[in-house]
Amino acid sequence: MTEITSRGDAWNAVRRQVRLVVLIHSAEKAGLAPLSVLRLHAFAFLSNVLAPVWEMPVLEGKVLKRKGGPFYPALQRDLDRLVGLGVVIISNLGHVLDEQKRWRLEGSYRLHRLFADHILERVSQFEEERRFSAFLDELAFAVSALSDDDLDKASTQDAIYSDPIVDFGNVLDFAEWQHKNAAATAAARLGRSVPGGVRPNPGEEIHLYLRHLKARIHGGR
Amino acid sequence: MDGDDQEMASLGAWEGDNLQSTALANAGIGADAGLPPETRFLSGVAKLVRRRKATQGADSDPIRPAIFLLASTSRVHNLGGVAKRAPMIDNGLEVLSGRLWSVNEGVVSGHYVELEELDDDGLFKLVADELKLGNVPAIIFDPRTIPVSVRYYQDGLRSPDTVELLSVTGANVNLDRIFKVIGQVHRKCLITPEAQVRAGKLWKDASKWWASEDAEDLVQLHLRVGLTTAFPTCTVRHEQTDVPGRLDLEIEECDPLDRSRVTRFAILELKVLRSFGSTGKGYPSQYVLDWVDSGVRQAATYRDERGAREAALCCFDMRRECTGEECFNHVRDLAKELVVVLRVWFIFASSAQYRDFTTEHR
Repeated sequence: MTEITSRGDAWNAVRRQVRLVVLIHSAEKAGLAPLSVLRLHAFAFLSNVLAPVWEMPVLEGKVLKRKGGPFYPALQRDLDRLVGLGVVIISNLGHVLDEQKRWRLEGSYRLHRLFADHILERVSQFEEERRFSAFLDELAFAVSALSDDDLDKASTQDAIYSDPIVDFGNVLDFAEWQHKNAAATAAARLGRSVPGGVRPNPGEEIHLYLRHLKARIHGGR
Repeated sequence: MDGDDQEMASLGAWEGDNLQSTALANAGIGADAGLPPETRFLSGVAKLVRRRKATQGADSDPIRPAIFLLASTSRVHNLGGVAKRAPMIDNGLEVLSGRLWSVNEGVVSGHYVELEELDDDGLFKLVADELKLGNVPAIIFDPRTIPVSVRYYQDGLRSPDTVELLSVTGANVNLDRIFKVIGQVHRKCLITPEAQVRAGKLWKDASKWWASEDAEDLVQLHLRVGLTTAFPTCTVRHEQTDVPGRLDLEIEECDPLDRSRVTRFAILELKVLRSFGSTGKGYPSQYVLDWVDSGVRQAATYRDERGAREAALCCFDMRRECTGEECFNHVRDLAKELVVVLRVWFIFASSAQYRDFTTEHR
């Protein structure tokens, strides 16, 4: 039983790492890379909250609400592992003291094409992974409408992350035990607000979400 | 979650926000998701150039070409210096000319470097030889010509003879022009199994006239690509309805400066006519007649709902016998009354069937 569980854990870890490679690849296609640690985590957060818009399963349905923005410890471990494997390259390396007064590695991440392209090629042979990749591509294109400063402030205006009902230091649960995803609801509501009775596709809804997020960052409501 | 539930669901921190204002200002962005990258790229740049030309102050832009490359930013960095990032280039506020742009396929954002004063040959050499990007899709926007020209190099600037001129003056789309494009798509991509790409075959088993269950989706995708390429400043929406087998295409164009002002040129109701389904199940002739009848009514209803200028029922006939426009005999009066134009394109199950047909009808 233990062996089966550890095999399952290992498989899940590989799958998470592969999806992280796809995420960085999408960011590169959109001109967002190299990605700093927190921008990468912000992008991952948006991919989790907006996955239902594309009818994709949510990979992480909860996150600790921190003042500095979303941060997934498991994702960071995967990222460090990918750096160790040479699949991801880190530049501008440094250390920062986070809000819990712990030192954290800081840097900018991009793919090492020599290794990553093989992974991406294999991944593209699976229908579900192709759908996931298409979703991340579109999300990255939408996110690319945000300036670097905007992206750093994204969590402060996100429909879920900036909800005052949940205080900093508590867990934001949108798809783990609870199924109240304000971001997906807002994207759908934005879609229904398009004039002329048009029913926008998921791509359009994702862009609308990011455009509204940007408007809020700049003081719009 | 259905519509009512969504109305009740919380918007979190966005409760009370004016979402309609965002939707009005940004409708259409991302509507081309799912199209091939090259198609999105050419349409995105054409819309961008049109928008920039209509923007106040664009008259004083440098009268020098701009080059757009569908390539990652890191490749443009090779030019020396740091490429400047321009998020939201699609708002038309950024000067385009005199710059080398690397953009993503959505043409939402991009990076640019200023181009040196070079002659045309120098520009091509810069991209092909210096940047080694001669094989990536490229577009040259040339404001030196009257009217301005936009040249699309699908195979990159290393193949300067493979070029297509894109219209950015705003499309004047009507059904005649649309049918011409559909005719080209049909001849190039649909007419026989050999014309169809391997990944997108319309036949499950052509020797038995068993049509693929994805036939509608594939026809729709080919038409979206063909129509977007032909009318790059337009958005070709595919309606996702809850009615099985119902497929619509809507060809619209927004005002270059105000996305909420939309001209809807045409509604196309698409129907695939089958003798057999993908499992060999036969389709009775009465079913096909009813299918065509419903298509006429849907096209008219949909046009009226959307305020589109024209409507057409476009049938793709995959049945055993090519009977031309006979499939419309029972709806001609209805179509005339509802002002719906009827067209049919036959999809042959083999090249031999196509040859026999063309020989008989020579």
